[in-house]
Amino acid sequence: MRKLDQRALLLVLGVAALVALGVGVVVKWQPSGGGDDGSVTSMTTTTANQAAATARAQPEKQQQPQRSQPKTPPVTTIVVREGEPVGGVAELTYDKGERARFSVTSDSAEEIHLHGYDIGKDVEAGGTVTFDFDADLEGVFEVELEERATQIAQLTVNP
Amino acid sequence: MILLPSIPEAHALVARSDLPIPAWLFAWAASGALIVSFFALALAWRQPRLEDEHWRAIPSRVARVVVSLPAQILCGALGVGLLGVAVYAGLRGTDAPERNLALTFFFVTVWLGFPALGVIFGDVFRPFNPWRAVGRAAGAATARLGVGRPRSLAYPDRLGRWPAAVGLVAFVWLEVVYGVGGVTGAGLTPHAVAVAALVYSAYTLAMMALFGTELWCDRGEVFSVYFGMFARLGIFEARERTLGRRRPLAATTRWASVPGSLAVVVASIGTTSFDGAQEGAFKNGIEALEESFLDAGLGAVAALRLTDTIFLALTLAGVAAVYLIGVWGMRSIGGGPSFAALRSGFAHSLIPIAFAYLLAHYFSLFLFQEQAQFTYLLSDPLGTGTTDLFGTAGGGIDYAALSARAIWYVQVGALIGGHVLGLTLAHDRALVIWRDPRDASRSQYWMLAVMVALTCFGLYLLSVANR
Repeated sequence: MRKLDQRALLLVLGVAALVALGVGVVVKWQPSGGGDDGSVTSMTTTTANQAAATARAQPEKQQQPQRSQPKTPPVTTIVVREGEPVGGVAELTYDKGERARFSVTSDSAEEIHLHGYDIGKDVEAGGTVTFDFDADLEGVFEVELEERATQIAQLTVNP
Repeated sequence: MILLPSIPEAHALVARSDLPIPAWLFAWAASGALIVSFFALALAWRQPRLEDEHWRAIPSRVARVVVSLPAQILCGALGVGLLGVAVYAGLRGTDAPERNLALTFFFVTVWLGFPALGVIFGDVFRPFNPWRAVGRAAGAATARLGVGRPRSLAYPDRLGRWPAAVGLVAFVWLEVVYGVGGVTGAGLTPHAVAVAALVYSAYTLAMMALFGTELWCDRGEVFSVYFGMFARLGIFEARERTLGRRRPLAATTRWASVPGSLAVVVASIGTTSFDGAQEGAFKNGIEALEESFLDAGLGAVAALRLTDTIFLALTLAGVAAVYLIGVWGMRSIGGGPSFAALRSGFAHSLIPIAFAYLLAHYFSLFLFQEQAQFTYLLSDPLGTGTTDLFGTAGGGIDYAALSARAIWYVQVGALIGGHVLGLTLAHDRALVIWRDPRDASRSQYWMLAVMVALTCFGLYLLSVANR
């Protein structure tokens, strides 16, 4: 009886493992199937340049050519009003090697700091500054108003 | 979407966070853990193998020098000196956390460095422990002067390692709840950390005076107990002034017999989980609860700290519950000991899991921050920008040194490896408790469920981190 129990349980575990393996294989072969399509706050904009770069870097994405590109201005602009990002912390997502471009408009004079990449730019009251650089460091980085230490954007660079 | 009022945070200590592991890797790793478990059950050995440590003295001059009295004095002095430098930097240095030695030294170099050294080499922290060094020096001095040292109070056995478990949670609370937001943030200035270190030093020295230096190090001193726990996995151990080698893993088998040990290892897993989850899995929950506290009229920082405290407590309770359910299940196998005996009997099997969690969550942070530690923080510990002790003040962190993929594979490898070692320890202990290997195997379905749950939870946290 005990022996039977043990075998039955081993069998169940084995089947569970195979099922999980199957799931792993299925997910593996559905590139870009997870996550990034569903993000609501996709403030990231894909310029023609970026799209070309993505296509070159990741040929498997060509399998979904009909994916509609939202009509958005070519460069994401983060608006800062009274020291706060309007609409919450902006999410900027790039693939490694892409050109990252975004602007910050502020109604107060601020020092904008992109951590990790360690790029700092000053913006005058009512002015706009543009960040334009190669996204060559992978990871998740904060963009802050340096003096207030308020996060205004999160920069994600995927490999 | 809830818009939270911004909290005036101090500047981030950590400029970069990890990318979440992708779904396909999550699935591969989870299935890998299951397959490994399946084989572990099928190929299980039938005699306990880890109960004997096989400690053997190392007959070399180097080994004798390493544990000699002058070497111990040197290490102790170094420990005291480094603690002093870090406290001084915290008190007198810049308030910018990332430019001040204190935060990186305490929360990264020491807090994450010693567990890593310990699992390989054994208890490396012991000789460097500044409070132990002071306690021993004071003991030696009073003996030399012939002042009759007051007898130590009897330490209540039932208290066991509970003071260390409580201290461990308090330390992490200071780091991630009071400090709000990762290792960084509001309130946790280098100055506050230095003051906390001084308060802790006074408390520790007082306890050592009351109960004896070595006893307090083994039971109540947070860092000795915590680093010592991981060091049980390592291979070197000094016994009576002799350095020896032992079997890897084997020294863990004696560890959990002291009451409160389970609380220490649960605290380790729970606190690491909470830190990993607050920027991912718990983010929405934390924001929702925080919102209701704000509506109730609490201030922004107070609301966030209260929310985080509640989530930390829930995480600790959750980890403890998963383990206790497993132990409770094991009772259904006849012929075993009581619930309490089983509970402490398998606690040591969680140590590898705790280290795996630590490695998975902090591996990249450690390697990046150590670049700061050994460049500008070393040469300019106060962060004033005017000193350059070793000529490395101009250095910085190279964030290209580790690719995201490398980090993912280390994270997943750590969790699977911890899973395997945890199962190994649990199975070995089961063979000691149940003489019949078949009963032992049946009991292990329960521990296997516990380990699979913890490993998959760890993977899940990684897959939704920093999204």
